[in-house]
Amino acid sequence: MYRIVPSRNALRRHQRDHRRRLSWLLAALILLLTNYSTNAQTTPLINSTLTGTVLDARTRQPLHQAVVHIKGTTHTVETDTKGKFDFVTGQKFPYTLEISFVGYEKQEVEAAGSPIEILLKEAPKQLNEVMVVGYTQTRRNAQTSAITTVSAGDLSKASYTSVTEKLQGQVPGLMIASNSGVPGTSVLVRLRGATSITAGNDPLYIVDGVFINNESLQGLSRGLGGQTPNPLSDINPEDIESVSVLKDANATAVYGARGANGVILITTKRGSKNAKTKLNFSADYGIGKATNLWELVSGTEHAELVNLVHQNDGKSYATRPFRPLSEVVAGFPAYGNPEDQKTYDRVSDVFRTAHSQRYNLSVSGGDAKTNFYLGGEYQEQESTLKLQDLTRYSFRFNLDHTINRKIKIGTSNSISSVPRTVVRVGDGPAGLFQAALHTPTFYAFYNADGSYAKPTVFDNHLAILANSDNHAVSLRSINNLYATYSILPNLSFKTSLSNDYNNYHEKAYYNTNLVYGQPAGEANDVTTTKQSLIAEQLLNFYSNRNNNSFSFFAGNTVQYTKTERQTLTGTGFPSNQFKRITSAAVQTASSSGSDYGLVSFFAGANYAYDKRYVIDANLRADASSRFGADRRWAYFPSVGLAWNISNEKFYPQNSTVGNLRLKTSYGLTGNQDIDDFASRGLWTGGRNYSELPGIAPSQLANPDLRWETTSQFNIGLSGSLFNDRLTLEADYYRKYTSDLLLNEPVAAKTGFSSVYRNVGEISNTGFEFLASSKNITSKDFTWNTTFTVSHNTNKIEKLSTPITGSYGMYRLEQGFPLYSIWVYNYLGVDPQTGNAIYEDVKKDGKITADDRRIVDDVWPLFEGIFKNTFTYKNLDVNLNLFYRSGNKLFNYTALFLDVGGTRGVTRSIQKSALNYWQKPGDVDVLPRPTSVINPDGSRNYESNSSRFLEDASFIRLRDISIGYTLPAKFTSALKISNARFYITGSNLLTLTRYSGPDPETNSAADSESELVQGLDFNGVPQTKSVNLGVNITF
Amino acid sequence: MKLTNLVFILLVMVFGACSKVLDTEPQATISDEAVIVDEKSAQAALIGTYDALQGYIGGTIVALDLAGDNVVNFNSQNNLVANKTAASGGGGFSSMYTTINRANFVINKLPALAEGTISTAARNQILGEAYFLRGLVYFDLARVYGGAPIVLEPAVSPTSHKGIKRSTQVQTYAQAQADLDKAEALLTEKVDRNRANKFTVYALKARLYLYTQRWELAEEYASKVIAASSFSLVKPFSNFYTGKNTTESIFEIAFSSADRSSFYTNWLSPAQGGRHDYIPAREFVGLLLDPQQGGSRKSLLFQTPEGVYDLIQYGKQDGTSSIYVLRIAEQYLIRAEARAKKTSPDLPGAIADLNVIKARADVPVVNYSPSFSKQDILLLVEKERRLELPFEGHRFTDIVRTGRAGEVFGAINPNLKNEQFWIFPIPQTEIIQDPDLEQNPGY
Repeated sequence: MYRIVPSRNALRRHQRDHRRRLSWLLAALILLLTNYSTNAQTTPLINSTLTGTVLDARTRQPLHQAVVHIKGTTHTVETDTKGKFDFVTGQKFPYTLEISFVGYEKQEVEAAGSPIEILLKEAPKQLNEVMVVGYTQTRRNAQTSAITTVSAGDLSKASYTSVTEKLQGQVPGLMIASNSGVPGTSVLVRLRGATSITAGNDPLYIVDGVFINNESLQGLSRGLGGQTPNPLSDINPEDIESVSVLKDANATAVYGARGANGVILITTKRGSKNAKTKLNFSADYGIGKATNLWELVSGTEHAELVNLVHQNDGKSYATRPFRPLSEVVAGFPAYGNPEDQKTYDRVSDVFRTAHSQRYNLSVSGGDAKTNFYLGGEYQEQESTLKLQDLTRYSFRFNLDHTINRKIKIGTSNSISSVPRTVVRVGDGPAGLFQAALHTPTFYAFYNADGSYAKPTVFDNHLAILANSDNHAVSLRSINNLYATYSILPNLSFKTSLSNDYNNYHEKAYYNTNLVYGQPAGEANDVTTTKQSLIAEQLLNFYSNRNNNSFSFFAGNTVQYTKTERQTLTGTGFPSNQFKRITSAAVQTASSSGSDYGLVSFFAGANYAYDKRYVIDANLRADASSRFGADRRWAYFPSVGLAWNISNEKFYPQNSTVGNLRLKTSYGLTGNQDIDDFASRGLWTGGRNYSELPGIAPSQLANPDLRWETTSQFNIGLSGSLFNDRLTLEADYYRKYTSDLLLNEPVAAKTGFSSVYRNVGEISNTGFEFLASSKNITSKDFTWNTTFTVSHNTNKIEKLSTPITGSYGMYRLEQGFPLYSIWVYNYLGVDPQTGNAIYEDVKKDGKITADDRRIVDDVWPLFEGIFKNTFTYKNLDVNLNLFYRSGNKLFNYTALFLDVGGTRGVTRSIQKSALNYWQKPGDVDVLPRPTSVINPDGSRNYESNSSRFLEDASFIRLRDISIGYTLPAKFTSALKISNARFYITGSNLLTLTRYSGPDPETNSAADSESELVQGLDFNGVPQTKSVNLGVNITF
Repeated sequence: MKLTNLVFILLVMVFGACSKVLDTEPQATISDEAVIVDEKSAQAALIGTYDALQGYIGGTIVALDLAGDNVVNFNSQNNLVANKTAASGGGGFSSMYTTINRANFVINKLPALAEGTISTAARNQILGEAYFLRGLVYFDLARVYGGAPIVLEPAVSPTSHKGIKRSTQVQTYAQAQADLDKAEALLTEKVDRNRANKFTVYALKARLYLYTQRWELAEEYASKVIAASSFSLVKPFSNFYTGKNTTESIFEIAFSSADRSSFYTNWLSPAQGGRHDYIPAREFVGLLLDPQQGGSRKSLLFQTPEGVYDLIQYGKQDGTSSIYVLRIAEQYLIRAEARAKKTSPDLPGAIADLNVIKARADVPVVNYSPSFSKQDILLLVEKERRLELPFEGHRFTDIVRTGRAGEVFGAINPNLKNEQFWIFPIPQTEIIQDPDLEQNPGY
């Protein structure tokens, strides 16, 4: 599959080969076209003259460029901007005209005389819908691929900042999890499972033809404790017209080296031609709360438990930690009697009622030649966890203009600025959660002298609240400029230039009240810029003759992406009043950068015979600078077949099952999502000593590094029942990824810890099902239901040595899914002794590190939505239930909070820890509180055991909305065309057995390289919120 | 055929762009081949080797001191001695090899540099320092793990060094010796307390001879350093760590505000910006606080308001505390021990050296009397080493090398009654990743 090219000369030769091959292809194509045009000669004999107008049947707006054809001849004309056409022809009246226009039902009209008015009806947007899939346009029933399109109206009504959250559950096979309740933070998106270990599992996002960056640019050296911004929250979801998710290899193969994780095509709104200028305004205000938070013990309970552990450990009564302050024992601090301990609630100090507001204004419209869309948005969203909020200013401008019959130009632009206030949440002494949740409740907030008390390793939570000064601004510009040239009526050439500019600027200042500000203040200023420039050329051919429809496309893209980062750090500030680095005693700066290039050629053809059989094939060739020079080029072919069974003659016309269709595809896609220079042996500077510059080897070379390749087989069946009222779609797939790119550990004696290698194989197998039903469609009352379910089984098929991820309990091992949990298997408490019992895997009577085993994995068994929409006259109600089943969470927060006092005075304890073993016979309890090692070598607490692995299945009322549209008589009196008022509730109800605050939490989802998923470590739970809003169209 | 012309022009443009787009070069990094080419780049690669040393030395000190009886883990103060298992062994195995690999690049590339790109003096100096650093790491590998794979070439591919198995402890010490011999021949006596020079080699050799029981040589090399005018004990005791590059230092790993160490966070309390992961053991704190024993060395300790004693030897909150690899106090104690142990023992000499250290610490000196047995003196030296060099990674291997680990540590860690556990386990992850590595018996 890979061409091995031994030298750069050979690479050039290779490129020449490509050029030659493509020119042959073009020559053949041109020959073909010349043939078509020679057929289109007419005879100059005049028998009749016909003038007419083509109008939209509903709006009576003229339709420009509708094609009018005299049946049985080759004579075809197009309508002008006023919808007018005329024929001077050798045909005599009457004759039949065939009129077609994209998006409208084809119509045949008998022309008996001149002039004639033709009304075209808009095509129902179902099976005959023209779909944009990658680079080609085909009708839905000529599709062989697995694609799901969600239009704006079907996106979740909840007030999320990014489109990803709004897609949750809508697309079977697309798993979306909001990792945290903080607006604008990362969302885990996995299409048909995970195909890669370290090379990235995120789908490719394309907005109006621009491949956009969806990697966080966060670079703050002190970090935010596992919290990363979601780059997609730079895009205003209100501007989105539809989202198409390309799932199988046939749909994604044209995206070659980036298609393995699926492709999400986002199309934004564009004005319609010949439409009245429409102004739309919407406003939304909401409040939200985090509920079901952790419950901690009182100060007295904490003290009693810690003293009990001290006693159970067999230590001297005289040195128990909670004893009168007067009982001084050198080296053993006294904290006072248990009954004298007060309780200080820190958790509720750091949460708040979050407010949000959003205003959106858009203007769209167009005349015969030009259409436009202008959109502006302002929104503000607070997190329920204090010190975090997000503001977005976004602006969009889309325009299309027809210069003449041959040339059309257009542009899509979005510019946004997203300032955020952020705070470190998790890991480390400076995290707000550590400070609030993990500081024992018996400690007071302040010292006797009024200064912030800092009794444990964590910062004082009030000090963080008062002194945190951490901000980030994302500046984003996504632009596309295109021109299409109709070489022939059915052959067009499109050229486009795109830009995705993303600037992320972070500023943090830690004063001396914070641990990072020790001893004299520290400030960081980091600017990261990532820019992609893309040039794309595309030839598109479409022909529909008799029973044959044929489409073809060929194109090329060149992409260049550059990342730059400047980091400034200042330490040693004169006082807490000075915050800018310029005042710092020690100022350090560093600057780094990286880039990569990707060159691709692609082509595809689709042939449909008699609306019954479709064959489809695509091929892409990709070269990436990230790979070894000898391994640069790769080819990604795919093929698809479809059979429209219900179009067969033998198929009963009045069958209850309509539109029955079977499709299948197979193809290859790739993944190149690794470091820009991963194949090279590298040395890095900055390895300094004693104020002298030093360099050191930073990466071992691997010139054999190549693409990850995923092959995918898909088979799907779709059909409809009861006159298209119930539509059903089912797909089965099997993906197999080989040459996994993995930063694999190497022998320590090389002096390196790991090297990028192609090792291992992963498979994903699953099915997807979608049912959508129009239950009731009466004049006043409608009821629609959508139900989706998807299942995926992930398995590591080949991996020579198991790999353990961060936190010690995540494990990659052959024969098990990614993100398997590898811990001591906790079997409960011995009712006699109160000691924890763990499975003795090695059967040696001892519990040792070798007794850990894979007990489960974090993947859900299935998930989906159950959505109902009701309308009654002007009232509409939307209920969206999301469910996920069989997924597990490792409750790492509980590992700290449920330790039965064995962490003494250093960590807090939660209420559930009080349910411990007290006397022989106690069951359903936690083990006896002690830190002494049991006779079998195990510990009752503080082990990574399956005790903390919980079932996090849930059903959640994701959103419920009730809307009321003003009756037409009021709106027309107010001179507005539409006005709707609504109230939306998000996450109001969750059914789960998970013990933590939120079963959806995924605290370290972005630590892909650390192999961590399904971890709950101080996650901010999803917000329960209620929003009120209005949407008015003028 | 206007169209084909157009398409052809476009394609030419595209291909022109292609080759440029694909030929990206890293900006902050250089590829292997072109890296060490002249004096300046060789010097930079050597500095990179010191940088690696900065990376491992603190961790190794902590692992060694936790294995002995001077330091405990703050969060599990009950386990006086950390129980070493292959899964949590520590000791810095992989970071040691990072240092070796960087040194190997210098040692391997320098002789091949063309004439004119580097002066002979610079070549000798850089090579000598690299040999010293590699010798230091092999010495540490031998005493911590009891023998290690000996690699003398730089790694250039994932399969480099495949098949190299562990050498014995004797062979690993011999490699350290060989490297130090080369360093001794190449380096000059120009003193730079942060870099290797002839005195650094002498001092490390003195220690190596102590570990390999060549007492006469140990005495000879320690004397070379003690005799040099550049090195002397500072007073008060605390000056050596509150100051920088004092006469006490022979080899001091320096940090600065631009090149900070986070070592202080392991030792200082939260109120002072640390986490005090490790604290001096309570029983040992008692010794240090005793005016008859610890004397002015009690300045190493700081009592927090909660009553915990923290170590402040590495306590500069801006991360600039040095780590002391070799200091003159140790040389006196090496000589004292060597004088007592050599074939014709010099017991008064041993006591004299011991008293130099005691006097500096403001504790009562020992008056020599012929009634002292060699054994008595050795015990006095052992105790003085514990008090004088408590947190620099000496205690555990001192007791191991004298064969007394069972007696001294057995009560607090019964495992150590078994000699198998006198060396650290190779970390389990390293065993998994390297099929050539065999675990130490017992682990």
